[in-house]
Amino acid sequence: MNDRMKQLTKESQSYRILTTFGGEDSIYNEIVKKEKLFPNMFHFFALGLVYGILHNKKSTKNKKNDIIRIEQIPDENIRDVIDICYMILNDGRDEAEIVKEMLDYADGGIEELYKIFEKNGSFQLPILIEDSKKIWLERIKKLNNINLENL
Amino acid sequence: MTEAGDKIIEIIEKIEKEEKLPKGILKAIYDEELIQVHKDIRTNSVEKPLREIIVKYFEMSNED
Amino acid sequence: MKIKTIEIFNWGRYPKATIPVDVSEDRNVILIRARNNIGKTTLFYAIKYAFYGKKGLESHKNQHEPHEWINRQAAAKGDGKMFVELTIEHQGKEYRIQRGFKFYQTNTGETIQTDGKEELEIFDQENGQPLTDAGKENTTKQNWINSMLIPYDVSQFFFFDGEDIKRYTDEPEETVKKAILRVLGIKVLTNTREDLEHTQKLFNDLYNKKLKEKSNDEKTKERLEQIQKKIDEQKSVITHLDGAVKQAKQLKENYTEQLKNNVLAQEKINERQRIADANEALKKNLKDNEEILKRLRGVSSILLLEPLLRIIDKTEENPPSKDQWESKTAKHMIDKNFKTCVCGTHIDAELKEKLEKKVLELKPNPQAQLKRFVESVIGRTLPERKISELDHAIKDNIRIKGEIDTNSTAIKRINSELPGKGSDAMIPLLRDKEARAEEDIIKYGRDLERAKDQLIDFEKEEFVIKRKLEQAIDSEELKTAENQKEFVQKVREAVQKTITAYYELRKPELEKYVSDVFLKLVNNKKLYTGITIDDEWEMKVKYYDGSLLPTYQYGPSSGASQIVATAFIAGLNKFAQKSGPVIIDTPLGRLDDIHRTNLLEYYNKMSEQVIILYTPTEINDNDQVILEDYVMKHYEILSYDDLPDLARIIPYESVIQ
Repeated sequence: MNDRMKQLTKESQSYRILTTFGGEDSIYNEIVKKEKLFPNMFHFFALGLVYGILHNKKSTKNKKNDIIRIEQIPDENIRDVIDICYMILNDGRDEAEIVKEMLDYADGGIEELYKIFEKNGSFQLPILIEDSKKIWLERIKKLNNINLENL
Repeated sequence: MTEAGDKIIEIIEKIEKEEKLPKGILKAIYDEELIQVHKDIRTNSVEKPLREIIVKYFEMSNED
Repeated sequence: MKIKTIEIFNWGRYPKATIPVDVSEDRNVILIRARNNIGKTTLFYAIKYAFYGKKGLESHKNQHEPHEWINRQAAAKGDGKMFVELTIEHQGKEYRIQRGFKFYQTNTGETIQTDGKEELEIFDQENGQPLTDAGKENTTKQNWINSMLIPYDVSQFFFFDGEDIKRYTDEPEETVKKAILRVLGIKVLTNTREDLEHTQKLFNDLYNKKLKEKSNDEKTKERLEQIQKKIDEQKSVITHLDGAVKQAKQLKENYTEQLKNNVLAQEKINERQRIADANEALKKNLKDNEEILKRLRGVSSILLLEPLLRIIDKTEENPPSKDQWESKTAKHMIDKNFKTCVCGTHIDAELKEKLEKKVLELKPNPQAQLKRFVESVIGRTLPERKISELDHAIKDNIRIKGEIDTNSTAIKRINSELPGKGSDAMIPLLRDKEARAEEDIIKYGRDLERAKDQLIDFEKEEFVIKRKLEQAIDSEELKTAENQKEFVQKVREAVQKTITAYYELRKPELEKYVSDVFLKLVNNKKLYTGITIDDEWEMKVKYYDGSLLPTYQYGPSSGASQIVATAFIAGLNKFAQKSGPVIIDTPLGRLDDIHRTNLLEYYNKMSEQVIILYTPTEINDNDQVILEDYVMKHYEILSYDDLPDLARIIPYESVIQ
């Protein structure tokens, strides 16, 4: 992990994961607490984040609800996902700005994923994963810190 | 009379012969009963005719 | 007997209709076509009413009184008359039966009032006068119809609704069994047997009376009276015990049947329990599976990222520049206190200073960082493997849920078959009751045998006493009475032999005839070998492998039952002591095409005159070709153009005319 990245999950400097879709009767509550589809809220957040970046969907709605501080996330896999997402969005801007963009992508992704869930009764993950193979090939061109030469 | 009715008469006449009963007695009783069978409620109105048939054919058999 | 003309007046929808229905030997079918609710069934009941009055209306769904059939429009207009008249031919002679009521003007919606006196008249068409043989009262006229034409309870085998005849394949009701016995003529014989028993008693009493009159031996006469009293009492006891045995047998049969149902039910309960247990195990599996899915969803972000990680993994790191390499190497040697440089030179103070200058403030390479990071993530998380796990878990989830659904449906089905049956307590209870009924049968049976033996003893004693009295009397009268008594006994025995001979001769013939007709009509001829009829007149279908099934279990569809019932009626018709027209309302009901064709081809053989009331969906133009050669006349019932509530009957133009 690079030094810049270390800071995101380090306890001394904390960023909070905020969302529009938290609280009672929210998407997060329904999916994680009621339907119990994910072990924790941050697991769903991470999926939303990746989906949002993949499909370039953002939601800039006011984020009032707190999920967790990034450095408090116990799951190494989720921290890796957040770090990777930070790196591919990092075009040299201010760290806080990039984190804000990540939160917008996460909310955008959550919104889209919920539509899928409402329509089909599931997220249809195998289909999402299969479809993403083609989409990443295009999306990668707009991401940062990836050497596209000779690919 | 239908074929079914004819068959019954045939059997009756055969039995009459076998049992050495006076010819016609069983048929006479049968005809009397046939009138009664279609009534909704059976009465004892066949009692007297039956008795008369028995007595009549009994006398015929004694004369033989 | 055949019907030559039907005339109806103010009956149901018909203000007036007259239809000739006479047939010839070659053309013995009359077709009457009508859509539903036009007047087909009304015509059917008109014929039944003419023959049997109110009784003929009993089988209708809701109109059982003659006044309910009076034409409303006619009654609304004013006082009038309703009647149905049949001109019939019977044993070469022609008669006219007219039956009806006078009615009073009644407003629409109110119950139509009649004068209360049904008018029934039977005319001898030779002279146009009322038939004297039929008597003057309606009851004697009805008796004439019953005895000369077709008795009421037998008419169900001549005039029937094609859809309703399925009931003959159900367990035969007592009334149906009695009607069957009457049709076959056995009823007459069994009545005769009963009446002769009574006659025997009369002659016995006569003899006893003579014996007592002629004898002077008072003491012996008193003994005779006493023993005869004992005999009478003993006969009562025997009758009572006989009844008790029959009742106990019936009870046992009921319990056995219930037990059978409950045992079957118990098997179903056991099956249900097995399925329920399997479902519990499946539900547990489902729970475990859902935990696995939850865990895998927890890493789904990595799985969704996986294609991107693969791409990044394939990218090349920018190779380091010479300066960057030298800087890195120098820093490494300084940090690790190397004594010798990588080029082999000893590192002294001077060389150390040179090395320190080479160390650059290197900026980190984000692309390289990302690539190396991605490499380590892939190595740690193995996303491909997780994707495969996810696939399997989802498939398992679908499979388990499917199995749980199937099992739940099976449980629901079993539950719907089980209401009120098969509880664990029921079976031992029923077994107990069955066993006790069996004990009663044995007990009453034993008592009955003892009572019969006792009766024989009494009768022997009576015989001895009578002999003693007779020997003391020399009387022609007494001899005659005795001979008469014996004569009646002989006649009784002859009647019993007649009954047995008739059963042995005719029942197999009837069975064969019904079987042959059944096999002509049935669809799958290889599956069946015929019909058997047991002593209780219950029909069973015989399968190719010899097994027997009661007809009400044979075919679940009313179509299959209709075939069996038609075969049975055809058999009874043939064997009936009466001949008459067969009139069928709704002949083909819900039959499939092959059965329909088979039935249509058969109907003309059912009687000398067959009248079929059908709807266009039952017999279409193509079907009529089958009947072409047998139809004498073809009618249609239509409503009047300007009065849709009223009906008329007109000749029908069809492909076959």
